[in-house]
Amino acid sequence: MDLVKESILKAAAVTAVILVFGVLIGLQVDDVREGYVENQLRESTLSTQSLIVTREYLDESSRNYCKVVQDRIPEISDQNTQIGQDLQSFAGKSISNNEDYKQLRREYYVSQLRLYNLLKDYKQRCGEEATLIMFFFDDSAASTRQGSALTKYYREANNNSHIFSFNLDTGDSEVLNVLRSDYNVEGGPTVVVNGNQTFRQYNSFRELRSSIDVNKSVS
Amino acid sequence: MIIFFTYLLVASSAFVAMYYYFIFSELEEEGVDVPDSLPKVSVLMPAFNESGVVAESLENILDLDYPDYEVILVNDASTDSTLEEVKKFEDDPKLRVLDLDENQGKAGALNRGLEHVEGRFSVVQDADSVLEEGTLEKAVAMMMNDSGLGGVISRIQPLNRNSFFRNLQVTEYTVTNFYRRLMCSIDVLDVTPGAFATYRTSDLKEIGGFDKGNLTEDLDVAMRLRKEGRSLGMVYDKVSRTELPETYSDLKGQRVRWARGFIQNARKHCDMFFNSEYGWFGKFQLPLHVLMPAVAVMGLSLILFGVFEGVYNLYLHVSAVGFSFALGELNLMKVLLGFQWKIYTPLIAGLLVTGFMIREAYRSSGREVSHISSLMFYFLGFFAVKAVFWSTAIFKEITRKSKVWT
Repeated sequence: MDLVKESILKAAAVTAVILVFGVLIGLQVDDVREGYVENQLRESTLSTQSLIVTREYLDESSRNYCKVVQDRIPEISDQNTQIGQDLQSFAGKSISNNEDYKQLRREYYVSQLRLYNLLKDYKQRCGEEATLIMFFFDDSAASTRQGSALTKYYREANNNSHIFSFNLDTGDSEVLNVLRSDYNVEGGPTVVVNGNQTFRQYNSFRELRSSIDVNKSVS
Repeated sequence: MIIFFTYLLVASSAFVAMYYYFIFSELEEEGVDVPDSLPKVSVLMPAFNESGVVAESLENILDLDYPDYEVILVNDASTDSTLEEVKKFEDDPKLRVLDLDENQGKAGALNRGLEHVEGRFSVVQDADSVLEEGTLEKAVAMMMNDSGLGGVISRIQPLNRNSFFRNLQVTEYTVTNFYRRLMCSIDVLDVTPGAFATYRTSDLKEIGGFDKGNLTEDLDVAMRLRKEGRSLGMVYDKVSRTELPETYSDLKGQRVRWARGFIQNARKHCDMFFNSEYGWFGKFQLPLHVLMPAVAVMGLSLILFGVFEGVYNLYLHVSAVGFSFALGELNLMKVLLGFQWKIYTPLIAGLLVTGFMIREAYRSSGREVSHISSLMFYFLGFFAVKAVFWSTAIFKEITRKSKVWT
């Protein structure tokens, strides 16, 4: 065989092997990503569950409950936000695990709602002024901008606000369907503050902050 | 779709890198025996507005030890002091000066010179180039030893290195010379650069000389020699030093002209593409020459798309909250998990092989790496600059902008 033909064949073979190797690594990394999110989700679920169990165990009037929740909330809330970001980022890079990510997302939404309920209850029981924000987004520019505005609000609120994000472009989830119907969500961005104030279009950071502040003072 | 194109791009780049690596792995050292008696050589030196450099070239070429040669300098109606500088050498019996009344372009000037050639071999040398002693002897000997050779070239290196872009071209030429050597070893070389190329005078006359009006007559003449069944050789251990573009603007002008010349010649010689009559040169090397700029242009498009997307997202963020950024906690695990490994794996493999080939190019040419910044830019970013040149050339060809040779 002449050198050119041999080199072309060898180069094609080696390139093919490298490509396959790349795909195999990609698949392996997919599994690691999925496992990573699963672990995070499990930890978050465990933390939330432990607070729920604590709530059931402790006497309703006990100040201990408020203290325990107050100490744990920032960490759980951050963890929850992080899982949402990881899910969003990793699902876009997945080669093969779309169904797995759909499942993870459903679990995540369940975990979000559980945490939302817990925080709602905590607000009532302990008289805290935390702001609970549900953010429904899609891949529109307005959703991206709203995400930035909410992130800034979250940072400035200094552990006093909690954001629960829901991607409207992803597959079916019972939790998401219930929330969509409950708050009459038709598209992104939609922001629901404390369950009683709904913004159905992009609101700048300032508009958002002043609206939330007004809402707080009224309630 | 973007991921698919990126994958295709990375895969084809890795393939080309591997292909040349396997050619290199079988490369054998070849020496040239220079006979005692060497035939007469005519050096054709076309000059258009070469004041400031032509004197150095003439001084060099007229001082060579080659036993029997003449230098035919064709002044192509220069508007500067080229002719005055040339006249200072008129006393040298080896020099003949043809002064054209009208500018004919490089190919036209070479054809006028060819009419006066007396040597069995003709050397084309730019009026801003200098030859290393012994180059003529080796090139002629190589052609004498192999009757199938239609042209012989040497390594090309910059004459001056006083700017970033010239240093960049030092790396580029070092690597290009090396790849030309590899192409020679498998008989697929496709160009006889104007800085230095040796031909049989009879071959040049048989094919009708140089194509007047062709933007890259050196590529065209090489293609026509190939059509005649001739091979092209290279004297790798000898160097022709030439004046290279100093600024980005000069470089762009030169490279856009080259790229347009390539497109022009690809159209002119399209019958050679995928034509088994011309062996691997037609079947593989010519299509590869089209693929490589296409890959560069596609790569640049993807980079621009990514930059546009990033800027757009930044705009959305800034328009929402102003310049408010927060650095997240650096988590190595998450950084690694965030990579698109199916793309990074072939990309890293291709870059490693390319890096190895650049190292071999330096090693085989005996050069030391002196400008790390230029080398790194060549390695990681020069393809994008070349893609800009290619895109400009394609645009100009489509819109039929006027062609200017320098």
